[in-house]
Amino acid sequence: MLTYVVRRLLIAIPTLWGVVTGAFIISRLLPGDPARIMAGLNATQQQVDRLRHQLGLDKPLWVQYQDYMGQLLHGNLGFSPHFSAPVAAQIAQRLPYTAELAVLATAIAVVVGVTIGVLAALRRNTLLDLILSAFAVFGVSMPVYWLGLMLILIFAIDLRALPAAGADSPQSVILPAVTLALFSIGLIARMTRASMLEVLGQDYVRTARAKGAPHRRVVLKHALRNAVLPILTAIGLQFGGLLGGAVLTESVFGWPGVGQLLVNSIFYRDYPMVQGLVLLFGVTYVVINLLVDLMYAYVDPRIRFD
Amino acid sequence: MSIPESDSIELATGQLRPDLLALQEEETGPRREPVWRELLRHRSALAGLIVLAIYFLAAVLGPIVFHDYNPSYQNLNNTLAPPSLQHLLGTDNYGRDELMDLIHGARFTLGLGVLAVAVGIGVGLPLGALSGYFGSWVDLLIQRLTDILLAFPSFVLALALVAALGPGLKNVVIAVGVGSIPLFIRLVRAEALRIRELPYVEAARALGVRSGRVLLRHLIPNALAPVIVLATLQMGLAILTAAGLGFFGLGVQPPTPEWGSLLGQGENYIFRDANLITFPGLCIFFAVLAFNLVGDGLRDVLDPRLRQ
Amino acid sequence: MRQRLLTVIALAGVLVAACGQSTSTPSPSSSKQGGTLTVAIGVAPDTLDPMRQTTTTIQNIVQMAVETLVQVNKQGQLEPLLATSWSHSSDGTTWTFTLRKGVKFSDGEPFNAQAVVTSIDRALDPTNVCPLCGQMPKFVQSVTATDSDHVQFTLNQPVATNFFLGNLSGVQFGILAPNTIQKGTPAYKDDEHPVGTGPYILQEYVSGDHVTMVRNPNYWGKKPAYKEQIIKIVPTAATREALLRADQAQVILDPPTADLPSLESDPNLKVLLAPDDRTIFISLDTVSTSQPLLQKVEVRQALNYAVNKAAIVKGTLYGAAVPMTAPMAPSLFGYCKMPDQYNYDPAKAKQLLQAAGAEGMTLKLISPTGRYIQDFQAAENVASYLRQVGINVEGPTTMDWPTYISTINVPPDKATTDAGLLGWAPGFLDASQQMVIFDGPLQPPKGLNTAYYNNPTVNNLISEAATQLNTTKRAAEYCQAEKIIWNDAPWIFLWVQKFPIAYSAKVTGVSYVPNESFNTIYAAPA
Repeated sequence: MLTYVVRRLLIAIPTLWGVVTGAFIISRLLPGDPARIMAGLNATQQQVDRLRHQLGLDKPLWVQYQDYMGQLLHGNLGFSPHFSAPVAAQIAQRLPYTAELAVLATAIAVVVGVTIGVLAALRRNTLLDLILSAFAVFGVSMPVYWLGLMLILIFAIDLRALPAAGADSPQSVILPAVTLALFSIGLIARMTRASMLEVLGQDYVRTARAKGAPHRRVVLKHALRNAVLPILTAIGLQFGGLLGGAVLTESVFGWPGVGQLLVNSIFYRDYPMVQGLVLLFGVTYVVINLLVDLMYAYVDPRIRFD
Repeated sequence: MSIPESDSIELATGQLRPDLLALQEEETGPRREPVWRELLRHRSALAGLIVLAIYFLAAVLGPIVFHDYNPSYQNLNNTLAPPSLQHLLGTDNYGRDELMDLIHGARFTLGLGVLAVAVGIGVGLPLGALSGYFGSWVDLLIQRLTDILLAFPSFVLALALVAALGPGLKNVVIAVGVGSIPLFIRLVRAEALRIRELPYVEAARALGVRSGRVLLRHLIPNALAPVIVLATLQMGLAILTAAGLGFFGLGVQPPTPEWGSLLGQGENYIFRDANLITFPGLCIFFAVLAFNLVGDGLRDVLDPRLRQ
Repeated sequence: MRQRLLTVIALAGVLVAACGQSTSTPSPSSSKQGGTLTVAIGVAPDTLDPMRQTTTTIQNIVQMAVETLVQVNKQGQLEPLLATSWSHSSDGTTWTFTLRKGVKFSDGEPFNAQAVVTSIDRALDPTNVCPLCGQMPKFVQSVTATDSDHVQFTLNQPVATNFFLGNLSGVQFGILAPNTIQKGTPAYKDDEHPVGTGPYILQEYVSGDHVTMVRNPNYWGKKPAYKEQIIKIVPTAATREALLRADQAQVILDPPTADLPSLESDPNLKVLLAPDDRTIFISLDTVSTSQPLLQKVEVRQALNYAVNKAAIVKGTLYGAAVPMTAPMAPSLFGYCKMPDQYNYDPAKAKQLLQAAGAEGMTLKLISPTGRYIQDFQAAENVASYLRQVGINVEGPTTMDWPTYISTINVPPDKATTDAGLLGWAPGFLDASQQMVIFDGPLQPPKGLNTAYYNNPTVNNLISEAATQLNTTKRAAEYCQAEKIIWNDAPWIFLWVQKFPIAYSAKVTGVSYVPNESFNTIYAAPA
């Protein structure tokens, strides 16, 4: 088990190296001069040049890359020119917001999605199935920011029930989390329905039923438990999409998380920040997938990692 | 649920949708009837097909029937007009007829979805086939590349690419398409791994049939079903991603009346004239919904395990 | 509302399922005397260091806490702030400021001449980053404290009064508590928590979310009404409007432009279209080799006659601008209204184009998106008008802002476009700050003269006026230069933007300075 985890983490190293290098290359491919953007239009060229020198942007690309990788190996994410602050410090300020949003959205999505999926599978080909399935597909079919703005119109303005934006009250997270969750609900519900249908058709479930086990017990103990693997996969799978969705959701709701930070960093050409955040997203991706796989082993003892 | 054993990182199937994988376990027995007929009987898929049919009709016939529509037309004296007999959905922020915008936008939005997925398949299918079929270092290389692409949040990748390439239909297609490449690689690779071990394929190889032929004859056709299902679902996603780029002003640019672009502009008029955000939003919503319904239907029809 | 109702029905179920119960209304920040005022802005501060910042919105926030020697008022005039009076030697190279007495920094340190010297020296230190310091490091030789309430600036050359004082009114030259920015400390390079003498004290900045300002109990001047002001960062304009309409913010900057009419007609809300100094124009490549016709004055004039600016301002900007009447905004010192305006006259445009042999000429146009009020859409409108006089406009093409700047801000031989929409906001309200963009030597990469406009007479007038101590003569010199520029038409002169601020009718005293600045310091419950 431990060796498996270690091996997986080792394999992740080249992946993460590739991610960082990719981010480095893409950010350098972006046209535009970070020093000019930082100094603004009113700054003189001399001031811009001096800034460029201070930022080390006048060095050859290869040297910049070496410097950056050297820093990374020492656990240093570098220095953000836009914020004139260490990248790690900025991320540390913003990450809790995105974590809160993502975890809550995932929780909503899992609870609602699995419920819908199970109900739809049990009532297969009934009106309920149709309605639930349709609802699940709605979630994946709406442009995130359209949905976000509509929710603001309804719940913040018309009903005055929830904060429209910001992160200053405990209720602030509700609208962005629901917006974000809707996409995942669809995915999880559909995956649950599919795997439940599969499991419900298996011999052991039929046997359990034939033996007269109570319906709820059959569903929860036998069927859902066995359907849980693909559902876990779906949760892992939606996480990447969730982070992408967070970029839009955070911008619409003025939620001060890393998603908004990443968009802004692209538009400000804040190279170290872009690289640092992409690396963060990459690490999250690797870790979540590892966790999902480990949960496989936990849920299904037949799977062994060796 | 079988776990591919050749490479345990594959467990990070995270990416491999089990519902798609299931399609690969298709029985080899003869089908009872053609897929399309079964699909037509699938209620929600039929609904999706009808929506898509209407959209494609608008895409094809729109420019012919309403050929006098000029996307560059502007009338600053008649912007944001409410619906009337003359303009059934009112006019947009340029004074163009909103309904005409939407009809003419259909071909751009659908085209964008189809082409973006074509990019994904065009790159992903050959790479996935090579990776699974040849194994060894080819596989290792392609798999690491896939890992990297997957670890990049796809929306951010699209945003960065379109910022680098510049906005516009062509670049949006590329930027959005790249994100789906790894999904197709994974899917086709898994299929290739399976096909490679089939007795008749082994036999063909033993007989010295060239690899290229084996790939073309056996692998590609077998992988087609799951690829088509994933493709339909990805088309919806591509349209949504493009709309998301529109939010940051980096999507398809006006005067092209692409729906995501209309939606992005409509955001500025949300309180003044909600039509400008509602109608393109609904058009996109139904397009993505339809692609999803058809995709789900296809999966139901093609997946033997779900058959009653 | 009816369409919205549909969505309500579709989504209500989701919400009920998703959040269980709807939560109680968060108490909107009440506008009682002494309460909290919430202001929603669109730009996230990169830094709050007065020396390092580059945007007016950030300046406005910092100015609540940090004061300058002189300030610009609502009428655009310079007036005393931390300095009560000033004078200069007859040759204009020595300036003496008398400082206000009895002022303390919010950390308790006394405000005096030494504090001024410390702050100004810091901003002018060539090893520091001060993007808005402009030419000051070049002109200022030394700053010394002659006694505890007098500071003397020694200059390398005479500099026009408006120019010098205008510079000092910028918050980059704000006076900070000396102990907080000692040389050798990190804050000397980068002070993220500026401590000044202002009516408010910067309490906290939560990155990307909000800045909290609390009233300074020991302020030397008039005390503000609100105990606290929260400046909330909300990048999406529609969301800012939602905050205002839901009474979760009382003041918002830059609401969605199209909503200005409906905001104005709402009895619960007020709209302030503050005068601004930002000119919006289409910079023409006056030395273009790819489109040599642009080298002809008549062609450039024709482009100016071809565009109906008033119609675009009304139809696309919803009144958030006024057409330009000179190559600079009226709020600048040195502005003079041009005798002959480029009124919309397509016939004249066609005639000029014909005379220049430029019918059907091709013009490549680019524009940013989301940088200025309705920028891209306005560029589309301009393109449409140009097409109506037979010009074959390619574009407008757009790109993200850094790409845009690196496309348009290039030396003439690297130019890839014929025309590009830009906005220019002078650093302070003086013609010199607009003229930098018409100054022949200041073509990219040295400056932002993106039209590559180079008229020797204009260049001379600009450099003469820069050191002219006689204010009347100086104004005349600028006026003369403006007339030449106006006639040469290196731009399609579009409009002077206004700065839209929307606020709750429950608030009064929301003010501005005509350089794209909002001022809520003395806002009060109505």
